Amino acid sequence: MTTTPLIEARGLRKHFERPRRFLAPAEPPVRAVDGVDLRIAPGETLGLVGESGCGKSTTGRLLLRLIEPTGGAILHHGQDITRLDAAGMRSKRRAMQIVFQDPYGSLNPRMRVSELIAEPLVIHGVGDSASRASRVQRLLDLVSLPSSALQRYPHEFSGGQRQRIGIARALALEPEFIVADEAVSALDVSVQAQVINLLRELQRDLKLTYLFISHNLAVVRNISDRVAVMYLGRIVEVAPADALFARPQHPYTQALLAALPADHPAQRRTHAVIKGDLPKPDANGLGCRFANRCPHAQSQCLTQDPVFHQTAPGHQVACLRIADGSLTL
Amino acid sequence: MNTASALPMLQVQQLSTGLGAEGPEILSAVDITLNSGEVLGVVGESGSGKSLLALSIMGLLPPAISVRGGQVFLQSQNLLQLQAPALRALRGKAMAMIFQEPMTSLNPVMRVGQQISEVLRWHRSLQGEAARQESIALLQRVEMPDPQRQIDAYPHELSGGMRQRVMIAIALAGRPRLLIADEPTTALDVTIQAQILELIRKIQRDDGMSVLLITHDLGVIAEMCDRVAVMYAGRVVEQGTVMDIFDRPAHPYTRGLLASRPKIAAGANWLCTIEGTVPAVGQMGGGCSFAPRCKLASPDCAQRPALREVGPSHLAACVTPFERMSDPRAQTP
Amino acid sequence: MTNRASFFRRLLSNRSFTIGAALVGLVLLLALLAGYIAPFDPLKGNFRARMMAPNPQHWMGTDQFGRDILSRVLHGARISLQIGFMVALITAASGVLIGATSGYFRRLDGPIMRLMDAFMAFPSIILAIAISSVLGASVVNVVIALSIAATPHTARIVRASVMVVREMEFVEAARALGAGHTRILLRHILANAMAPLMVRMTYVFAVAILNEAVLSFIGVGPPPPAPTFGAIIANGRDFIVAAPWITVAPGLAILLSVLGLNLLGDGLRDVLDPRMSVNTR
Repeated sequence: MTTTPLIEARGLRKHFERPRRFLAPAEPPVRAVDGVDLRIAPGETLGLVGESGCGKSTTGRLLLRLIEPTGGAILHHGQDITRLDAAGMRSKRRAMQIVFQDPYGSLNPRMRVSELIAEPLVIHGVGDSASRASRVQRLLDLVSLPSSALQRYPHEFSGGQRQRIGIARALALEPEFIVADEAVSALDVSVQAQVINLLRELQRDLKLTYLFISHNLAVVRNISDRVAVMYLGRIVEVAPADALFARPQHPYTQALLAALPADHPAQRRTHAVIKGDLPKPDANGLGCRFANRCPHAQSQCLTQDPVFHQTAPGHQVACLRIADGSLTL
Repeated sequence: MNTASALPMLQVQQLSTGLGAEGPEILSAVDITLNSGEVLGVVGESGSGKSLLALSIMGLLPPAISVRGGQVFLQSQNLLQLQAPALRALRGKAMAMIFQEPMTSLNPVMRVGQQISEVLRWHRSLQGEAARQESIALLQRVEMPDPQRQIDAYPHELSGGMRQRVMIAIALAGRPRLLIADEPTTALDVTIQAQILELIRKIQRDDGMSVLLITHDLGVIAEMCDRVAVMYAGRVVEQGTVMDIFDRPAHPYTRGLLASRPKIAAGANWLCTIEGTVPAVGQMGGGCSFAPRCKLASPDCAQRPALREVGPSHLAACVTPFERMSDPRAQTP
Repeated sequence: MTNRASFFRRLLSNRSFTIGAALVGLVLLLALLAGYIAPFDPLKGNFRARMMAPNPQHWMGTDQFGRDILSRVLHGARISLQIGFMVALITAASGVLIGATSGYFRRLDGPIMRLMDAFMAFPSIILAIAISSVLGASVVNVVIALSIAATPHTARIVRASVMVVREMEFVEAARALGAGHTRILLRHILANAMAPLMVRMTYVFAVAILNEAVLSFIGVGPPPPAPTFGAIIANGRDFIVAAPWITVAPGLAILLSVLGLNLLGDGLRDVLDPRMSVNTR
């Protein structure tokens, strides 16, 4: 990346301590995010995919410091925000916002839509009540909600409409960067399409940068410029979207894509799918997390951390065997 | 595909359910046919009534909702006319159901093996050691790793995929002829979903079981089903083979649904959408339930369209599915 | 229909609530109008009318000093309801303060809850008696004693609600917007955690009435000649066989008040319960 990335994560780590039983030896912490490096360029959408327990949602929240990192740095325009105090972080929040997954839980049920969308403006003391009201109206227009929504409560709306309210709220402070944490996962397919189109429109019109977190690969394919694949707290592959889906390099990415249900009955899977289960995200700290399920694993994979290797411009894979050339897929 | 015996395994005819006796209608004159040895997918979004359809068949409707009309035949038996004890005898034995959330569908304070043995005790009169051995055999059948040990595990000690396998084992314990699977993989990760779907397909092939698969995921439909019924707002709007539905969708809703899916192969395009939202229960007027959102709506749509044949064993509930197919306003998949 | 309107409608169609509200309303009304409708002066005795069974002049009879029981009960109701109300109010305030702090600030939770546990180790009656006897006999002190006795459990209930709401996504959303602790606590958490507290308050009210009667009965309540329920019962203690109406009448009054409050609280809980979970689809 030649331009300064808008958001950068370096060696990002989040470990959760496990509650200690009385007199029992301490167990190793849950390594939810274990050394993640990310770069997101201004105006681009980086898709972050993985299955449950991979740490993608935690990563999204870490970038906004909704959770405090255990280690590593988070850079916004080159400035490390992990060192900011509460006041500094508060003003940073105007530039970085989040849209949540649950349209039913992310809106305070006792607040009217007008209050929900205006809240960020109130918190940061933006404008007076008249200018706030007109700004709220403009935000409603942006997300294609009618003015009649203003005096109503969240429970009067459908899931897709609630997500729009959440998006309007996230846009109130005119942020540059938005984390969409499974923002469409709880919506029906036809509603999902509406919201995805909306997000793309907004990105184009408002020059937004997105981190789009999702377990749904087709959705990520549709909206992302580049995609990063996570597995058990680490990134295993990063590439431009076209390249990742056309030429996946990492064994896990390949397994993930192979496991997808077909787009059409004529394309049904006939071959066996990946066996085994996700191990609990804990255990040791060394070695490739995917080794126990990888068809190409060798002994060194269990003891040595994988290193990133560039297989094509912008395409990085974290695999020891690919890096040392003993494996080409 | 297995050869179908003459009598379909499951036949739902004009089934209607509603809130109480006077409240709004939830399912409206639903017709579904599941042939023996076949996998029928019921696809719909929220509010389509697909889960309620499954519960109606099993006789597990919540007290607030009652059946208002129609028949449900399990081969030659009319399920709606059976008394509770007779229905209970069938449940778990002739027909079994697996649910979406294995964590809440399994008893958290009973060991997994005990939950399987329960069914063996009720429906196959197996006790003690015989039941235990059969439970282990069932766990092996559902490809549970280390079944000898896992049989004594509690549900919370197992992962989502393993719990779903347990649920399938419980469902199979009674040796059912009909399996109803309500969103069996929606709560699972993609790689685990693939394993479970393959498992269901394998069991279905080996046993010749008939499966009613309910899902909102068209990908699962494409992977698993022989025939498909599309539901919208409590009504069946289209029925046909899986190829019919994907290659020749006749109903505008089906076409819209197929078009609004993001697909890996399609890259980064603007998605087609269906304007508007699903009508809430009790808010539908007479006539076609999809008309308010349909680009092809006409005054003819004020009459509720019946399911008419648009191809061999392919039905659609639309007044003008064929005539308008070449209409540029029709959404193309 | 707005949240609030549909809430009131459901409340009014709940039988438990309406019966309870009617009872409480009745007692409240009588207590408020005590000064006007009481036929006699509750404190003045009439030696010629001593120990009279209920009759057309004295509907509830008279005690050993000739004082009209009905009048005493009416005035007693006023005192008891006042005390009950004050106790409920103060307990709510202190319970919310302590419970919200404990439930929201994790590091303070441990020490605060241990302190509450210490208080809860005493049966509330014993605690109330002890505090009351130390502070001295007066209405204010009774209120203080009963409030202290009722606060720990209330704080625990508030804490539980706060801990549930704290984890909800809209609270996280507020933090993401830059909201500070005060705003989150007031606007987001407490606004959504009130339901169990409201139900609890009806219970506290009822128990306060009962406890006040106990305190008065054993002599550490509001000083005589205040005609509190407990005092009236205490007064008739020696004549239970000879003149049962002296004890039965205030007993019935307590019964009605407490029953009414319990029913009201039950109805409230039934209506609030399904709505207590914030995710209503």
